Amino acid sequence: MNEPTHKPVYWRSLQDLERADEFVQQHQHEFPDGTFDPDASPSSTPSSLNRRDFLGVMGASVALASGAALQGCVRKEQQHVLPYADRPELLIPGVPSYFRTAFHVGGFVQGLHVESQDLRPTKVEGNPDHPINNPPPPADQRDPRRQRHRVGASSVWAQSSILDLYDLDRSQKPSSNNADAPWAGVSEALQTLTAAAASGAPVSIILGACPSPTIERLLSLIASNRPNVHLFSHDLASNEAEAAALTALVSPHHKLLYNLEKAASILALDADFLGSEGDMVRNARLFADGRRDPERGSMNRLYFAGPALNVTSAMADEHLRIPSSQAGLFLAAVAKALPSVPAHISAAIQHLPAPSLPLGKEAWPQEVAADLRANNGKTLILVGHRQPAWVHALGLMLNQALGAFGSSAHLIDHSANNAPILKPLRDLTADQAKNILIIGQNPAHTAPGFATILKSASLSIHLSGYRDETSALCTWHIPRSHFLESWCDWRATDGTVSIQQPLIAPFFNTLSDVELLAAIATPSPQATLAISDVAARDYGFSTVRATWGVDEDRWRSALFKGFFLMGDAASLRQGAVTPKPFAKTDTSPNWQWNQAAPLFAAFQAPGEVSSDALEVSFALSPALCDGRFANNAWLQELPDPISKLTWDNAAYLSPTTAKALNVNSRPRGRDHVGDLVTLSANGQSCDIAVMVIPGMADNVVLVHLGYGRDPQHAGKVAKPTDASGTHGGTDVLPLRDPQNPWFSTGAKVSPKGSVYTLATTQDHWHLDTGFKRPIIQEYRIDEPNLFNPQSEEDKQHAELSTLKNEAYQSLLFGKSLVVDDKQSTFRDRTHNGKRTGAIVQQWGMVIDLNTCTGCNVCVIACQAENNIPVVGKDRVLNGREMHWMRIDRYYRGATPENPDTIVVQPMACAHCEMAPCETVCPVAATVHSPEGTNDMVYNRCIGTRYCSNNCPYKVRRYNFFNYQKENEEANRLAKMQKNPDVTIRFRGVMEKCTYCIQRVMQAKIEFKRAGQGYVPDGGVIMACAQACPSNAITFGDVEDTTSGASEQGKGSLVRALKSLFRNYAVLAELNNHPRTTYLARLRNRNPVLTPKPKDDHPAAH
Amino acid sequence: MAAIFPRWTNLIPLIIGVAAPIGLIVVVTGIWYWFSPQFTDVGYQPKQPIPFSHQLHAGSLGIDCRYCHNTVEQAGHAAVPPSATCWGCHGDSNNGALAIALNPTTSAPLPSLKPLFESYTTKNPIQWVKVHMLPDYAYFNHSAHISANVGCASCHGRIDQMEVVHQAQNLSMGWCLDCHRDPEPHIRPSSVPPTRMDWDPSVSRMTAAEVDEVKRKLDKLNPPEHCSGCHR
Repeated sequence: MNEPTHKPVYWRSLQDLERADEFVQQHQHEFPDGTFDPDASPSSTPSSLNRRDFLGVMGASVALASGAALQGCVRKEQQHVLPYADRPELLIPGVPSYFRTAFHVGGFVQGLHVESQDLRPTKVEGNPDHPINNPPPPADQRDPRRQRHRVGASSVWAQSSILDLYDLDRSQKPSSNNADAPWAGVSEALQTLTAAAASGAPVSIILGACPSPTIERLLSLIASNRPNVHLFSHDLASNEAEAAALTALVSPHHKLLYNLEKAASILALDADFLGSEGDMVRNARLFADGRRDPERGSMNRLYFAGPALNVTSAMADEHLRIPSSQAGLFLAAVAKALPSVPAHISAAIQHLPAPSLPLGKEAWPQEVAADLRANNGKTLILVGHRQPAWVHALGLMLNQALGAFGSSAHLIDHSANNAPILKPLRDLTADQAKNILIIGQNPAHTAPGFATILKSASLSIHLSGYRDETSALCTWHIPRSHFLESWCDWRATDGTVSIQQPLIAPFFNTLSDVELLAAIATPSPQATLAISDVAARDYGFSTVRATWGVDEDRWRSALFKGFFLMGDAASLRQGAVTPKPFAKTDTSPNWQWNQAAPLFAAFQAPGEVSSDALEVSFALSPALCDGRFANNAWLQELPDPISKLTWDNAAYLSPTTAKALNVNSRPRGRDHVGDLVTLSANGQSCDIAVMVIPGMADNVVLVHLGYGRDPQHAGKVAKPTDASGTHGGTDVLPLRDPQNPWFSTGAKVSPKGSVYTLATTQDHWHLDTGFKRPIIQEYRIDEPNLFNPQSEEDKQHAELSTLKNEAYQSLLFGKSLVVDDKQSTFRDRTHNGKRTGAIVQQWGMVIDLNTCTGCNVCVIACQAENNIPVVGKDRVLNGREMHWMRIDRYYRGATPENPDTIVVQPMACAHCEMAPCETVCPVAATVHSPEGTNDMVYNRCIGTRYCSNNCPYKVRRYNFFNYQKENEEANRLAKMQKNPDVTIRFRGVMEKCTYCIQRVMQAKIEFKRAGQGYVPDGGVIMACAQACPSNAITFGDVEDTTSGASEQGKGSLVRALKSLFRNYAVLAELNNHPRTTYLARLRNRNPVLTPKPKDDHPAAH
Repeated sequence: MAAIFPRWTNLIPLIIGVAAPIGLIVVVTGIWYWFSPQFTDVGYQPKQPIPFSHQLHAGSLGIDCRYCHNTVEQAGHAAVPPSATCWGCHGDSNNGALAIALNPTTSAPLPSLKPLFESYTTKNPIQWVKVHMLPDYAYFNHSAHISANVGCASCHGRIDQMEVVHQAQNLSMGWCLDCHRDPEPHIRPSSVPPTRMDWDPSVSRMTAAEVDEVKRKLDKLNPPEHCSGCHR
């Protein structure tokens, strides 16, 4: 109904930017053409349905239905109640209990707070007391209102780990040379290995990153005084290059901890510190703290230099698109531009050539250097995991020279733990590899060249959750327990030691890391017996407990909290003579700058990149990591934060590069197709589909690891086959160069002449941008009077924010309905008919676009909380994905080659006060509650989909098939994960975000039981808000003016946020009065790098 | 021209005109009555694996409901007690005192309590038959109602008089809403515990203080009448 009169300022895809007629037509419909087409899913419906068949099927259905209905009316089927014979102490059926445990990816530990419903784990949250998951806010941000909403966050991988627990594809039996074998054989193999180690034969133990006091203790027992026992580490998610730099410059026991809230100027050098790298949860929270209250003063500035395509680059205020191979040289150029750098830095970098920067970006090194120097002591340079060790060394030097240490960065000294030093796996030689023990990880797949060494081993034992590529090459495979099934302990970067506490006994007969290592470290007849007899296997607990010499009270308090604090004395540990903390901040590190020379000597001038010799850049998938989560259907269907691609990986190219290579990706009907190309690098090649992504560096092809694994090894979700063919992406791991595994130049892309269908959601659920007001509001922080409207234009903008656009109201309703917000009957807390003393709370939400990174944790948290099914690639192609919450990614800028900024916007049901969906439902299945929520009554819904058609935000999801049943048939264990407080939706029913009404009702009941008639602010936290690392989502009572004790923090946080000038409603001109509003995105642009346009004022975006 | 239809067929429109409305009324009334939960559900009295008598335990012996259904104040479910709760009284105790469930002369288990013995020794649950069956999409919470001091008898009837438990109320949504719209007749003053079975506000006279207390409570009670109050 709204003809777009101009090209959009914000756009999602190249087609969106072009606004061809075909695109506009297609997106005027709620669902893309063909969504209702039964042929769209031949796997589920007959593809050729003629009239005779149809009538036959219908007749039978009617007969069956009436029979069933009559029976149903008369009497329900007899049901049984099965109480415990002897109910465990403290267990109350129907009331969840919570346990603290811990989890890590790549050695980056998170404390977890896991919900257990009737003794089955159902939902993972971050431990709210853990300094990684909920670091304390900066001193000037101790607003009591904010404190009420500060909860433990978690990562995508932590949230989805619960589904892995219920994975039937996990390995359930030991195997020897790929044939099922008895546990007795495992005992023998382990005895052989133990004997070999004792006799001095070479034994190599390969682990992932494992900062665990118990595992370190066991490794020391195994390796001490045995020069032929070699310990290796291999983990693509760990920061090996930084460890190498720290080992050379300080000690192997030092780690880097960031306090990003203290940094005013941040340079991220090819670093995804807000996404898949490092202590992502802690870093995102503290980074957000540095830009949470721009109204009250300063806001940090983030520079990003790299090939882009991750959430950190989208968050950046200024971004420089350069290949990964140029990032180190760019940092050297910044160092050269810094005035008065110490001599050791100039000496180290003098031989480095200048970087080749994109045209028009030559001022970057000078400007970044000037900004860093100006903020001396309040800066931070973060170097990405993928960069080589010399770049990390240079980053450490610059951070030290700029005074970051002690303020925004800390060196944490872990040497008190006496942890054995693990060498990198590439140091493993063939003669050390006679006997190999591999704990977790999948090095035959992820470490180049390791498979050949492994094949030469006479005894190789692999403990692994799946019978993966490494298991297939080993003489023995032992099934491994999930972390929710086993005991361990983990030491986080800051030295906090968390206890990994199991919530459930192992589903299958499996062994944990600690149990396996204990059987080798302390061989005894009991341990041997326990290996073969699962009932006797109780020494996992005793082994972990034995690490800790604390009394029972302190042990139990640590279990209750989930961790021993960094400051807890090491006398806690068994055998410690003097109390020492696990780790301490090294305030005066003994820098060995002269040791940097060998690192810099490894520098090789990168090859010039062009369309004939591309840089191929490998990145961990934000969903599947390096492939270790490949069998997790939630993660497979999770749209990539930037490309919005599901179920596949692709070769991401910038529009310019794609044009030069004469390849393309484009929508075709309801599909999105990319040209299939052969990508060759380092003498290897693979076939992969192309996807064109604006915002990529030119002449770079970026591919995500972890896809395309053989389902025989990874599980059947990793590479499923459905109506759209076999998918799951392409395995790009073999293309890597063993010397520099993360990027290499000289790659070639040649079209194969065929196409591949990609399931991307980037053009699904398209909001009509033909409206006058923008969906995204974004301001520059140097805007005059940004927080205090003075000019006419600013005032006009402020008036528009209060939703009183009369012209639109006339258009919609034929008359002007000026609704005064202050007196809106929709927000009357006392509007409850007869009773006057009761408070009707008015729920609402604010999402701060200025701190939201688009990391997808909320999407997975919502999926886990609300029993949202997975639909599969062919249904995603039809626009049938079921996520209640989606994250829209918009580009800004007139040209696709060089978009100015990327903005992400989480979008779920906005719970409009005047909801368009409610008025069109013929059966009142979606109705408004007096508390302001837009309720969805599944049992009334007859599936007309009118509501979805009328929803301006496109947030309603329809069950075209019985997805829940399909999911259950695919994996009958997965139903144990379901939240019993949320209805399982049937086919033909509409669903959408409910504002986690089950949590609201539970909180109301709890506070009513406690004698309080209403839920105080912070008394109920939504699943998305609870998981959010940057605390960008706030939920509460918008009319609450009384919560909180002190005068300073009176009223609810959500109310305080809604009174900010940058609060705005999306599509406010429709007069829907959405309860979910957004805080505008602010950009702290560098005024030299991006001069302020003269006609750029807030209302004109 | 000869008549195609015989003369008596002229009556057919009349018969249809009279019979169809009557038939319609019979069908509608029939469905309205015989298909309603008032007819189909009230009085549902399945046979239980153990002939447990609430009349004996809650009535004659006067055991409080919460002795067995002890989760009712903390949870949505008023959980059916584990076999161990029964065993607390019925099992043979360590000091050799006579167990209630044993035949005093032969010391053999009473045949009616065999499922309890089996359950307690094998740790397998007793398969009680569910009497009050709400649909799965209705999330009823016992603890909320107990904290508002709604009596058990308001929904479950006089359990203390039931030899075998049956469903006393129809548990339809309209029936729930009747009370949510006007909870006054079912809210007890704090001096009357919810488990007291024989309390009836229309019979037992409340003191002025109690009337006042209930009024004040009602004022703040605000039972949900919207869909998401029970459907999630």
